[in-house]
Amino acid sequence: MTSTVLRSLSFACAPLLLLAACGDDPAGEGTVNVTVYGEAFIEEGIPASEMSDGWAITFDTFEVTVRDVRVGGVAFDDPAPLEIATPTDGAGQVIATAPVREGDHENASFVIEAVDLTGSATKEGDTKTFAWTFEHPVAYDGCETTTAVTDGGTSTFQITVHADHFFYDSLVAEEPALLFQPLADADTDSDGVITQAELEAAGIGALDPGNESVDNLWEWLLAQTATLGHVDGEGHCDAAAL
Amino acid sequence: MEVAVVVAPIEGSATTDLGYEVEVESVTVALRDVVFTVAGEVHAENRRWPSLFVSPAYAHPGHYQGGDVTGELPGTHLVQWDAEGGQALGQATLIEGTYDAGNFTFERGAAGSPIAGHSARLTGTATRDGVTTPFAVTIDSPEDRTLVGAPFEASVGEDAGTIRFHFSATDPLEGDSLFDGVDFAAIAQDGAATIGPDDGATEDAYNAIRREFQTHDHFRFTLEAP
Repeated sequence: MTSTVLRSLSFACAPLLLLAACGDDPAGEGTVNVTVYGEAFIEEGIPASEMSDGWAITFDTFEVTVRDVRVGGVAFDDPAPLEIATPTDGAGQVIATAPVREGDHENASFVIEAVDLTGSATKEGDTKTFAWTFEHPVAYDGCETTTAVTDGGTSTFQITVHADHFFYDSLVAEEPALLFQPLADADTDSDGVITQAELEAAGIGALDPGNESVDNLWEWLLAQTATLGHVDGEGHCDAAAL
Repeated sequence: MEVAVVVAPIEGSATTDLGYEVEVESVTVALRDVVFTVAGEVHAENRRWPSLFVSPAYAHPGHYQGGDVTGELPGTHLVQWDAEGGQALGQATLIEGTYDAGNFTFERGAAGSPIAGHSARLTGTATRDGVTTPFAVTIDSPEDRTLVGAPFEASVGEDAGTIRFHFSATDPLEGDSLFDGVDFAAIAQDGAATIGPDDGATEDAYNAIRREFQTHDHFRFTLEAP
């Protein structure tokens, strides 16, 4: 049977031999740069005018650990943790580069392994600082974007991090409000530092978790980490905590 | 095919974590656009974040896995649960097949309705240590707030029968109550507890009840054979 199949294949390939070796992929390949971009909200901060309660937020550091990036079926090397609060003039930062077959590629995927951020929020002379680490991997796949790769060309697949989601007042609303006040109120010792312990001790009040069972503000922020990752700006992905 | 949707009798009994025996006597909800879906997010046990967060979630608020819609009861409805049930909500249109869940969007009651300007009202009693506290809870849901994944495990065929729309004060899967954490006696004034939005004295109770009420834990659809 095998020899028959092979003979058939050889016969079928014969007309193509002048164009390319049979079995070779006739398509070319280009280069794909994977970037991570925190947008102006991370690089410059979230102004009070964007928030629903008048707090303004700046991030001193915003480190993300990304792994398992796949575009066009190609697995990219895992990068080192990346600091994305550094201004990039809208370009983001390249974390990996690899050759990818020519074509329009969909269903890219990646994992955000951890997020480590420090920063502060201010309102009417009041300042709250925070230093939070979320080591809770979230897998993103089926991302809504097409990465077009041309033979010999260079394309970009951007992982876009939406930090403002940390301050959404809902896990389910289409147009959630942006609030910092619930987090500020968690600073029960009034030392100006919002700690994980204080957040774990604070209920979520009027925040809307949808069908999720979220008992405190730390869990609330953890739940929001599953919404941070996007692609090429506003492209969505299916996300699942690992 | 068209299938009648009828409100089931209220399942109003619950025992709370604070030891109250609750009897919900009536629930009135303004809602719109009931849809019936295949797959998607469905109420199941173990939905806790983060350790038991197993259901995929779309990476953006408002993008629940709502499933493929293959049935609908469009329009705005004022749904009223009581001991008798039986309110007819209309004829839903469904494609024959197997269903998993129902979704709907909370509305605000129209002017002149029993819950004008509000999304829901619940009345009943809570009893503990021989003391009974009547209560009334008014709930305002955010605009366009959709409840996703109310169970609807049914196979709709040629003779579909009737869809019953249920409300239960106790989560039938997890056993917890709509009123867990609410100390009725502590917030009662003149022997009765009135809980609603924009009332600082009952804010914690209101938030707790609203959160739970807006989940798929207390609503479900069933298909009754003809």
